[in-house]
Amino acid sequence: MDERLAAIKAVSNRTPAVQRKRVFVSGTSPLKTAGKDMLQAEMVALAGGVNVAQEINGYWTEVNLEQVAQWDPEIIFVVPYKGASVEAILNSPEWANISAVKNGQVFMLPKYLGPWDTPIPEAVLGIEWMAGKLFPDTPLRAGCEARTTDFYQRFYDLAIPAENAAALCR
Amino acid sequence: MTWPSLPRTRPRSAVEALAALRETRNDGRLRFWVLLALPIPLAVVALALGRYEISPGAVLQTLGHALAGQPAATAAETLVLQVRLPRILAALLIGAALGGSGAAFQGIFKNPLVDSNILGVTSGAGFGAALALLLTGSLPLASAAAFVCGLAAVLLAHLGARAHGGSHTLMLTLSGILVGSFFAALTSLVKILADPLSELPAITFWLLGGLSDATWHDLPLLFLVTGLGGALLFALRWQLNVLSLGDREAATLGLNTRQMKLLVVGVAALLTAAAVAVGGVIGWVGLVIPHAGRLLVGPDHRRLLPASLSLGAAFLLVIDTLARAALPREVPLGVFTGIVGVPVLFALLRRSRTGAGWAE
Repeated sequence: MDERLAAIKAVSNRTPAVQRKRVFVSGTSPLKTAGKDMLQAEMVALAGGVNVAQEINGYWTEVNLEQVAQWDPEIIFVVPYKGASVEAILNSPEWANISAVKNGQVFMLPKYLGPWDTPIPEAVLGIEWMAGKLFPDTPLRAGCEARTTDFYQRFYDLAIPAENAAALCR
Repeated sequence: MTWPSLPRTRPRSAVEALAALRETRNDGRLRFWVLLALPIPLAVVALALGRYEISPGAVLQTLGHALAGQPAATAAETLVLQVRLPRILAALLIGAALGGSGAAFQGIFKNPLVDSNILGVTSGAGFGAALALLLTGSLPLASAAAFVCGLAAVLLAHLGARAHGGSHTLMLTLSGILVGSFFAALTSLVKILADPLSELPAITFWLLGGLSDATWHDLPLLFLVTGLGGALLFALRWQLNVLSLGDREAATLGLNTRQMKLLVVGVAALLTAAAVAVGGVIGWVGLVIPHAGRLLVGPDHRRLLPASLSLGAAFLLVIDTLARAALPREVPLGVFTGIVGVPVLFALLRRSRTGAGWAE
């Protein structure tokens, strides 16, 4: 665990704080976001991003589009459960001029056994996956399949098929 | 307690009461027209306010572009056209619907403590939305369920009163309260069953009311219902005056009180259900706006009804603008309606020397 987080830090530390990407975590409805106290906020920080909703105390919080436009996130992570959907954000005219939407940087977190953004062992994979999206040109992205296969083998004694690992890392 | 629309000197007959109402009509004509026009300048100002700073000039420019048929090119233009404009229109329509239906309900039930929820509309709608959120998590479905369940609750209240024999106002009130409590209990049950991390916050937010999800899709139906309902209530403003005198007096003036009451209740319930379906349960407006209207233009429904429609629209617009612009997070409307509304009403009460028209 420590080893793997150190690998992310090694990459993210090369990016000064002001240049880190602004991340909006979208919850079970598009405008629900993770406040400072959510695990997702912590995960974004560990992955080397900046959670735009860090100024909000608390857990899942309803915000409005004006605030999102004010933050203008460069990347949006959508949770993989309870009706949340990437299409809802990409296809709605209200979101059209947010940077992340314009550049196609809206991604749903993977889930396998459990969602990767929840307080279960997979959270480690979630952090690495986020880092992969934040720093796409680094080994953080490229090594995803191998890390995922290794993780499930080691902690769950589960051999996951190669195509599943590939799908999770897409 | 006497009904506020009765003038202070008790009239001997219904005809005299109406004559007394007519007398109150001529003073304050200017104030009445100012009240009616109030939502328009407020809407223009609200368009330039929000978390995202957009100058008034840029707002006007955006509107010009939109009228010329150009799609929104920048984040600011998207916000003005796709977020602020529909939301402002929704706030105006919902406020008008709640204010107008509140005035109509208070007139029919001859009771100043009555609001739009008197027949269980709001509780029914709240239950419908909560259930839909629990089962599907989909907001459009919640809206539809709210609308249907709100109307079902009124129908149930009406049938309950009928089963007891007649459309007596007291029976209707009692039946409405019963139906309201029933649906409130069901809503609590849904809340207990809901997942505390995902569904419960959605339900709670919905039950406090908010317009953060209002988009252009919500507007056609809301506009249709509010427009038709508001116009119908406005057309019935004379009959409301007569009805507010009491059943017997209204009957002696040749009004079919039963039919008329059913019609007014139906229209007011429809207005409330449509408002709740889009904005969630926004308390307070239907109760207090008619009172504010009465303080400002008097008890005559010919002025009170349009004033309540307009005042409701203006009030909810101000509240919603606060809710979306004051804090980084979205604040439920129910929070600000009380915080802003109560001091305003107290100020009005202080100013009105007649003791708000309901002495004794």
